[in-house]
This record gives sequence, structure tokens and C-alpha cells, in this order.
Amino acid sequence: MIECRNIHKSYGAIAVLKGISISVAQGETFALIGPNGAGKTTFFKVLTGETPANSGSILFKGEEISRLNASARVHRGFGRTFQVARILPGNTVLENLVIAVEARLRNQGHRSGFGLAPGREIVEEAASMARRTDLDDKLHQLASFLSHGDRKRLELGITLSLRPSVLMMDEPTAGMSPSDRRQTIDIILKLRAEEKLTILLTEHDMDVVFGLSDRIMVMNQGEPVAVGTIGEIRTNAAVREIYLGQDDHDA
Amino acid sequence: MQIGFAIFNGLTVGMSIFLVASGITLIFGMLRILNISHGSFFMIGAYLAYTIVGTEPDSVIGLAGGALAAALAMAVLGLVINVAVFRRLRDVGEAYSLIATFALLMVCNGLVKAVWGVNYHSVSAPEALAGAISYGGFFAPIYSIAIIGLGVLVFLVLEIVIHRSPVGKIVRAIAHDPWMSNLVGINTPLVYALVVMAAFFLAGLAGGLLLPNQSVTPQLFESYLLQSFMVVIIGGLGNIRGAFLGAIMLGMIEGLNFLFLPRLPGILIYVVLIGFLLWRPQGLFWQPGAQTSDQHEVMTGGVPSSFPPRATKTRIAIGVVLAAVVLSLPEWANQGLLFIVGFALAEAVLALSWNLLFGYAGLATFGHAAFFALGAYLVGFMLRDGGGVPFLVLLAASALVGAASALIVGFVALRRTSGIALGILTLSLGEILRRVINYTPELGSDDGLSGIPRPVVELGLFSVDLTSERAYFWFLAASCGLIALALWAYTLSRNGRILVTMRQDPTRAEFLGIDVRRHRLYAFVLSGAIASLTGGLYAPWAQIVTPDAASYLHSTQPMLNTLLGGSGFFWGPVVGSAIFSALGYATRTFAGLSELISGAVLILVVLAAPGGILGLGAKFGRLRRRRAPTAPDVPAMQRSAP
Ligand SMILES: Nc1ncnc2c1ncn2[C@@H]1O[C@H](COP(=O)(O)OP(=O)(O)OP(=O)(O)O)[C@@H](O)[C@H]1O
Ligand SMILES: [Mg+2]
Repeated sequence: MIECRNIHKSYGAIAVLKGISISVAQGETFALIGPNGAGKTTFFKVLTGETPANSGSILFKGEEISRLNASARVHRGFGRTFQVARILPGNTVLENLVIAVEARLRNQGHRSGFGLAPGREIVEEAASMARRTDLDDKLHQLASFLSHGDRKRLELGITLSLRPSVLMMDEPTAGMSPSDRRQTIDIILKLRAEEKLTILLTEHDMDVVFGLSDRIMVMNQGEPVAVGTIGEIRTNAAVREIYLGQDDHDA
Repeated sequence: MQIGFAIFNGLTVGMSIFLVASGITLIFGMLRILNISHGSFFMIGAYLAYTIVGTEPDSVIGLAGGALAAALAMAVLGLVINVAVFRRLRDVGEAYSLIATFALLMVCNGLVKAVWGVNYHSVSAPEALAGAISYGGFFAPIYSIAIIGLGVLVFLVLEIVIHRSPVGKIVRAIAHDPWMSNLVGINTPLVYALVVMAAFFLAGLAGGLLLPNQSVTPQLFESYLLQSFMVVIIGGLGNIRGAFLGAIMLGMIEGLNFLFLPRLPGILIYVVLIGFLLWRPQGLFWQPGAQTSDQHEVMTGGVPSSFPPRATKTRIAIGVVLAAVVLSLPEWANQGLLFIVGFALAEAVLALSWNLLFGYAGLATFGHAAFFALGAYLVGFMLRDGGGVPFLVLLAASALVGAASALIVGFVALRRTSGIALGILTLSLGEILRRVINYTPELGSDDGLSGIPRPVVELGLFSVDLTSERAYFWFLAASCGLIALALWAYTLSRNGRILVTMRQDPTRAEFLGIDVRRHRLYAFVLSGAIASLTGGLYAPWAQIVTPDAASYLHSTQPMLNTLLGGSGFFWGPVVGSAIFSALGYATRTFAGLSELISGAVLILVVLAAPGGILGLGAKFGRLRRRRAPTAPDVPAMQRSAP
């Protein structure tokens, strides 16, 4: 499904990604892990088109997409959530979701009707997405008043309203309480089954990583260290060295 | 020889501008506030010094003494302004802080007119400076040489203080990272205050010393305002060396302009500036941290609602009553009032179109009046000299011309710039248009197009005569009302929801599949079309259009209207324009008073109520229905498409 080869990215003189290649199959959940500053978010940005890579190629369903901008990639089926949730703070939960559903219809080429207000089906779909992300009791709250965990869930709902074929989540549970975290994993698992999603995620919390992913890539300082299943990663010597003996490795 | 002379003159101009520009760049470098009003403080300094030395300063010492006194007074004023205004601007978005300093400019200019009157005064140079030195065939006024020397001296002093002294070290540390500096125990508020005082001191000093260079008039601020802006932008905001080089460049460009385009004075610098903004928006010298546009601008002032409100009885009643009042005006109002209301209607629609960019799409432009002027001149010229093209065709053409020019400008500008650079770029384009009109005799030059006839509209079977004042008023009011309603509907549709999404979070919008650049361009084109159409409607009403229609002062009118009314509300600009027009009408007989009051009101709004009047209203609950409860219950939103 996603095939990327030899991605290089630098900010000015600082090389942040030094040749990353991955390939993710349809329906797979693939996790990127690595210490702070490893370049996970940057890699996400490059994959989703938020920032261009310096070199390397990205194939999505066989199409070369590395020169497309972010919105064009969204049209092809990308969905993205952010390390710090990006929602529309001046709108209510329901309005956020309505806007997302409308966006999907537009992306699919549906013209809007003559009415100004969103149609009944749109509002109903938005409300049902709120239910699926456990936000149905907060439909009319301004998003700026939501708690951190609620924002993350709302962002997930917004993204899923686009019905993406690939969902890319940058630290979906960052800063959540353990119970929120558990709930979020459950929601993701349920939605993944319902929507047959391919998922790429980064995460620091190992419970989340192990709870969700089929395969894992470990990154350090912009370079891939190891790729494999959970079992393979656990026993990988290079990985153990990074996580356990960071100080004598880095210098 | 002429070249030498042009360059020498250019340098004199450049160095006098540097004296003001250095203050602007100092303040920006520290406080991240682009002080638009600095030119006006320079003017106050000049008036103060003039009051002290009179029209014929008897000696160099006398002139310098007056300038020094003015400089000290300005430093004290700087302290006051810092405490009263600048300190409070740290928490508001970039566009709001720009507008607040613009409001300061209005206050200053109003004050000058109120205190010193609107007459011209000229001050002669003291005898010791009055002569000229000649060398070969080239001769240079001593006074000009003194100005150049002064500019270089000020630059050297600033350079040494900033880059070679312990004080400079602290200043640079704060400029680089105020938060850390505070942490390590630097008293940042004190340093800020000192920097502002120094900048104001310079403005006062320059105002005094440059007295013999120009006449003292309430327009004095203008050339300094625009040119010193260019200098700091070209040099790189916050960078003294950049400002110095920029000032020299400005002088050279002015010299070239004088040599090669004598019929279009002052236009080349705008062209260079635009080239600069597109090529290197950060200026010659990039200043770390000078990019302010990613500050949390987006939410200041609130986000307008983009979902249709319920049509309650009160709302409908308000609409009907307002329409009835406006449409019945020709029956009972006197001519003066009718005129003001007609202008206010046009200004209100202009402001609505500006707020489509500002409040909805999140783009602050400073040259909106240019579109208005395009339409006004097009329709005005064709009605007067165009030989019978039908009026409605002219109106359509004005909208098209506005859309086309906005498409071209937007295509380039939105690709390359944002934030302050976009603001200055649009401002420059507007000024270029104004100057081109100014020097085009076919368009009436300075005097404008006068004697524009009002049209008769032929509609095939019958014709509508709009030549009378009352008939044209009805036509104008109905057209403005229709445009406003159509625009309102647009903002309440899916398109409006795209706009508010982009404004609140462009990245999120992009990841909803919205091509942000393209939709910003759409908004730009629509806004330009409406502004130009409004200009077209306005021309036959006023029956005269002057180059001022394109000036930056006119461009700021929609901003003021919008901010006063509330940028977070579709109808905010209309409320603001009604209030400003009423203010203008009530204070029309006192020179400067309306500027003074408007400016003061605006500062208050930005500092105390960034949501504008409607924002205040919503806060106190009278209009509360708009937001939280518009946030509709599910059935309310389900007005499905027919
Ligand atoms: N816009 C930028 N300009 C310059 N350097 C950047 C920029 N964004 C990130 N970096 C640098 O790139 C490196 C990788 O950052 P990135 O955010 O990708 O790491 P990460 O793996 O997501 O870390 P975390 O786990 O903390 O989220 C860091 O050293 C960071 O300082
Ligand atoms: Mg990250």
C-alpha cells in the first residue's frame, strides 16, 4: 500500500532523516518508535505532504505521490492526526464533525445542494461519528473547552469522517491518563475492524504500541535501527542498546 | 553632474528617513511591534521643536537646542505610550497590534491638527547652515551635508551601543529570546521601556533637526511613514544595519527615479519594495524571531459563525426595521445626512469584503482600497467620457476587473508572502495605483474625476432614471443590501465553513483535503470583485472620485470599521461603519477631532475588547444567542437541501 524508499530530509544544515525506507501492506498496523527527536514526526510530515522531502520516493497504491501537496494526498485516502490535536476551537464538537463530513463529500466530488445548512444525512453522520468516539454527550460544547483526551478523540473522529484508507496517527495517546488511553486503544481497535484501515502510528507508550501494531520500526537520530514484529524487536540487540544504553551509544 | 546631484539628494532623503526608520526597527527588534505611528511621533517632535525655535532659528545652537528639548519630551511621551499601549499589545495577534499602532497614528494626527491647526509653516535654516559648498561644477547645500552626517553619526552610535557595549549584549539577548533573558534575571520590561524611549528620542531629535528640510504640516508624517517602512522591510525588520543599508538604497532609488521617471516621482521605490517582498520577504538581513505571523493570531477577535442562524422573529424584525429606515431616508433626512448614509453604505460593503479575507480567511491585507478605486475610476470614467456603455454593463465590468486584478495579485502574493509581508505588499500595490492615477491627466490627476453623471438604466421595455439624488440613493442602498445578503449567504454555506476552517487552522484544513492556497485565492478574488463593484456603485453617488480613494488611509477604513464592529461577526463591519460615519458626521466641523476620537476608540477596542462592539454585546449576553446556542441541537441543523 505504502512504499517509501530512501527518504532524506534536512532542516537547513541539520539532517533529520537519513535514508528511511518502509513498506506497509494493506490492512497492516505499523508503528514507528524511537527516542525524542528521532525524527518520527518529521517522517510523518514527509509522508503526508506537510513538508517536502529532499530526496526519496513515496508510492501510494503504486502512484508516486512525493510531489503532491497534503490536500491532494488526502483526496487519495490519507488521514492524519497530530501530536498536538488539531481541531477547530471556535466550533462545537458537532460542527467540527459536520465540517469534516462535508469535506469528505467535497473530496469525493459531491456538489453541495442549494441549501446553506448542512443536509440531514450530513448532520446524522456527524452525530454518529461523535457516538463512535464517545463524544455524544458533548455535541454542543465549543471544542476549545474540551479536555485534552476529548480533543484527541474529536480529532480522530474528524479524520475518520474523511473515510481514509490510511490513517496516520502521531502519538494518539500523548498526554492522556491511563484510563483515557485504554479507551482510545479500544476505539481505534473497533474502528480499525469496521473500516478495514491501514494504520501508521508513532507512540511512546509501549502498551499502546504492543496493543495495536503488527510490525514496528525503531528509529534513532533519523536512521532506521530495526524493523520487525514485536517479538523480533524485543530481542533485537541494537534496539536494546538504544533504549538501555543510550548514554554510551550517543556521544 | 545631474547624476551626482540626484545621488546626493537621494542620500539626504535616505538619511533623514533613517532617523525615523531606526526607531521603528529598534522597537520591532525588541517588542515585535511594527509601530506604524512612528512617523506621526516624528511629526509631533517637529511641531514641538517648531513651537520652541519659531520660523527663523537664529543659530545652529538654537536649532539643536530646540531639537534636543523636543527629543526629551518625546522620550517621556515614549515612556507613557509604552506603559499605556505597547506593553498591552504583547498578548494580541499581529494584525491587531498593527491596527492598534495605526490607531495611535490617527490619535497623533488628530492631536496635531487640533493643537497646531492645519496651516503650513516653513522654517529656514540658520545662517551657518544656509550656504552651499561647491566643488568643480558640483555644489551641495551645507544643510544637506549636515543631515547626511547626522544619519551616519546616529548609525554609528547605535551600532556601537548594540554590538560593542554591555548594554547591547543585554538588548540582543532579549531580542533573541525574551523568555530566557527574563529567566536569567534581566529586567526585560525596563529594557523595553528604555528602547522605546530611545526610539522616541530619535524621532523627536529628527523632527527638530530636520525642520528646515521640509514644511511643517499635518501631512508631514506621511512620507516618513511609508518610506521608513520600506527601509525597515528592505533591510530586514529589527536590524539596524539593514535599516541603514535600506536607507541608502532608498536614497539611490529615489535618485534613479528622479533621473529616469521624472513624471512619476516616488514610484520606483514601491516597485523595488514589491520585488523585495516577493524575492526575500524577510529582508536583506534576516533577524531571528522576526517572523511573527505564526503567533496565535487566529483567535483574537473570535471566529464568525458559518452555520445559518435560526430565523427568529426578533432577527427578522431588526432586518425589516433597518431596511425601512434606510429606504425611507430620502423622504425625511436632509441632504447632508443622506450623503453620509450613502457613503457609509458603500464603506460598509467594502468593509464586509475586507472581513471576508480577515475574519473568515485569516488574511490581513492593507491595500483593499485599491480595488475600490479601480471600480470607481472605471465606472466614473466611462460614465463621463465613455460614450453610452450601459450602466449595468459597467458595474459588471467593475466586478470583473476587480476579480481579475485580485486573481493576479493574489496568485503571486499568497504564494510568496504572509503576515506583515502580505500587509506591506498589498499596501504598496495600493500606493502604486494611487500614484499612477495621480500622474494620469486623463483621470484628472490630483483633482480626480469630477462631474460624473448619474446614469439612466435602460431595461429594454422601460428605463429607470437614476439621475436624481433620491433615485440613486435607493439604487445604491438596494444594491449594497443585496450584495451584503449574498455575501452573508456565501459565508453561511459550505464555502463559508471552508473559510473558517482555514482561518482557525490551515494545517487542519489541508488535512481535510482543502487546498488552502487555492481557497485563499478564491476568497481574495471574491473580495476584490466586491470591493471593486462597490467602488463602481459609489462613483455616481459621490460624482467625484479622487486618487485618495486608493490611498492607504482609505484602505485602513475597512479595517477600522471591522475591528470596531467585531471581526468575529458577519455584520460587525456594518456596525463599525455606521458608528464611524456617525462620529465623522458629529465632529465634522472640528479639524482633527474625528481622527482623534476614532483613533482613541480603536485603541480601546483592540486593548480592551478585541471582539469589537458585537463581541462586547455577545459577552454581556444580549446577543448571546449567536454562539453557544447557535451551536445548534441536531434537528436545528437539519434543514436539508431542497
Ligand atoms: N521545523 C524544524 N526546523 C528545524 N529543526 C526541526 C524542525 N522540526 C523538527 N526539527 C528537529 O528535527 C529533529 C526531529 O524532530 P521530530 O519532531 O521529527 O522528532 P520526534 O521523533 O517526533 O520526537 P518526539 O518523540 O519528541 O515527538 C529534532 O532534533 C528537531 O529539533
Ligand atoms: Mg514527534
